[in-house]
Amino acid sequence: MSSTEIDAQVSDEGRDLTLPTILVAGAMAIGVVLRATGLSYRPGVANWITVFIAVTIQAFPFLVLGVAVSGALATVLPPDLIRRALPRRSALAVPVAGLAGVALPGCECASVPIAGRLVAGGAPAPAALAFLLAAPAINPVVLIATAVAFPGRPAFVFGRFAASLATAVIVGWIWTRRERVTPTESRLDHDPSGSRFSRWSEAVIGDFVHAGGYLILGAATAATLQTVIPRSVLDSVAGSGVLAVIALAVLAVILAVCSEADAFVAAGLSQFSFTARLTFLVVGPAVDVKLVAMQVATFGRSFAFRFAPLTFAVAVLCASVTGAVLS
Amino acid sequence: MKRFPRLRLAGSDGELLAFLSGVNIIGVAITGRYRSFVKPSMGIWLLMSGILLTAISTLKLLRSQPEPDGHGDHEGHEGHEGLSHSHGHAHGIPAVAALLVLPVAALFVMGPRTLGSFAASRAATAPPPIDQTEFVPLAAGPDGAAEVTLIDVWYRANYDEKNSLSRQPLRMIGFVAPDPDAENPNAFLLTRFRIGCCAADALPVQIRILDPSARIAADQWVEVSGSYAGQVKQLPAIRNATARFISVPDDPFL
Repeated sequence: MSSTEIDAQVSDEGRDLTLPTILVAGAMAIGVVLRATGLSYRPGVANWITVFIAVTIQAFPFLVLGVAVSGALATVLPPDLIRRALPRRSALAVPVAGLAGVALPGCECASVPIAGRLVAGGAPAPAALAFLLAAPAINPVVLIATAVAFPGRPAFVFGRFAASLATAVIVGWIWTRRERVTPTESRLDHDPSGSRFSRWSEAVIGDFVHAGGYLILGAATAATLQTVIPRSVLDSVAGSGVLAVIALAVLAVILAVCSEADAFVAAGLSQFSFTARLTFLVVGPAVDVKLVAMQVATFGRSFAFRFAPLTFAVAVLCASVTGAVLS
Repeated sequence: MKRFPRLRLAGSDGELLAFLSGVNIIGVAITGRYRSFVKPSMGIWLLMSGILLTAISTLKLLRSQPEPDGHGDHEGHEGHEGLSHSHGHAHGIPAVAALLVLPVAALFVMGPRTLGSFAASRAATAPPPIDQTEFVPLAAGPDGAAEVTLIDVWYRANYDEKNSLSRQPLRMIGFVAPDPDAENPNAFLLTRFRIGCCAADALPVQIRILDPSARIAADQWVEVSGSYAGQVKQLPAIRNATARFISVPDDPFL
């Protein structure tokens, strides 16, 4: 498994070099060059840096919340609690886990490490995946934010709840028939000795650097795509039926904004149809570039690259059907 | 590799990376720099999460220190196992975790400028529609001009039935973006970004400044005074405009 190879490599170098110190020094040196040559003031470069930092900063509190909870799942809760709490039959466990997402007031950055810990802790993978997809979309904070962003238009709130839950459950059920999901190995190891706090903080830090590193990769991808592809390209297809739906689905993937805030973005896309904007709200929390990067971190590359397209297709479908029914 | 001196503090790279990230976010939150990237309301959450992460990683770093030969320091002889994963703490840090230093470097590299005319030229502009048709009258300052935001100008221009913009001169701030439709070479689009959540979703709000007395470079922040000239080519416009240079505001976004 290639991610393990990388792990081993870094472990090697990291031993005696205190890797972060050297990296910081190297990054700062590049920074000095960028500033001295005036390159960092070039509009495209400044744009990239701004978007990159913005995506990183907005995700940070949610990521910390997520790893605090996922750390607790791994160390504080009795190991088989989740397995016992879920219905034995997978067909039933999937919707139950999806609905349980209501209880996590975070965005997608929080739910990825938690879903990883759920699987590591013995929860059936399809159920954990349903939770992963549902939690960032249907929790009360996100629904209230959606209601605030669309005053007097509750169809957005209901539509989002229904289509996102449907997406989560359908993807979970589809995954029941597929292969097993194994979280990447590093998520499993924690020191059985030591106090509860020590084990928790270890899990928190482990999950943070793991998911955080991939989050940075996702933020860099989002910044690159946004700097290279002008928004006007996507906006130009506004209003033209199916194309508009696809355009906003793609926009949700490359914008990578947190689900707490995406409704305010959708509200600004007023030239698009109801269905297209609903699709934006349903796809965003389920598939976006930073989320896919974090899924690579948690479940491995081959999983993420099959899971993301499937989720994208199901989310667009669910949103379109819901949009057609409600509008 | 051994010729590099080893820092005693280094219990593990993971904890250092987490510590660095936490301190970075605390710094961004305290200095108010975060407002160039996200909504001002995010500040308290950034501060709290930054403190939590810094505290956890600091405790971990301090605790792992006093065991040079013991459990906390056994990485050295397990680092060469190739594909097999080592166990215990400080392990399993993937290479991408090193990317956590990038935001620190990016903040360092970045100048005072945030999103500018580059981004503005690449996005369509249309604030969401509103139902409002009644607006409170604008309050004029001592010089007779009313301070307005660009979004306020946009909404009043499009929805105010009483035409409150025309009753007095206006004063507003924004940065300069080129106006591709203008005949007057000095004309520009006074621009500010509106964000839903962060700079990644920013959309520009723009109004036309028809007749400034001199040409101003793109991305310069200015305070413009002038009179409302109605809508020109689908954007609210200002004529008899004078512009004064200002520095980038603490809250660059609407």
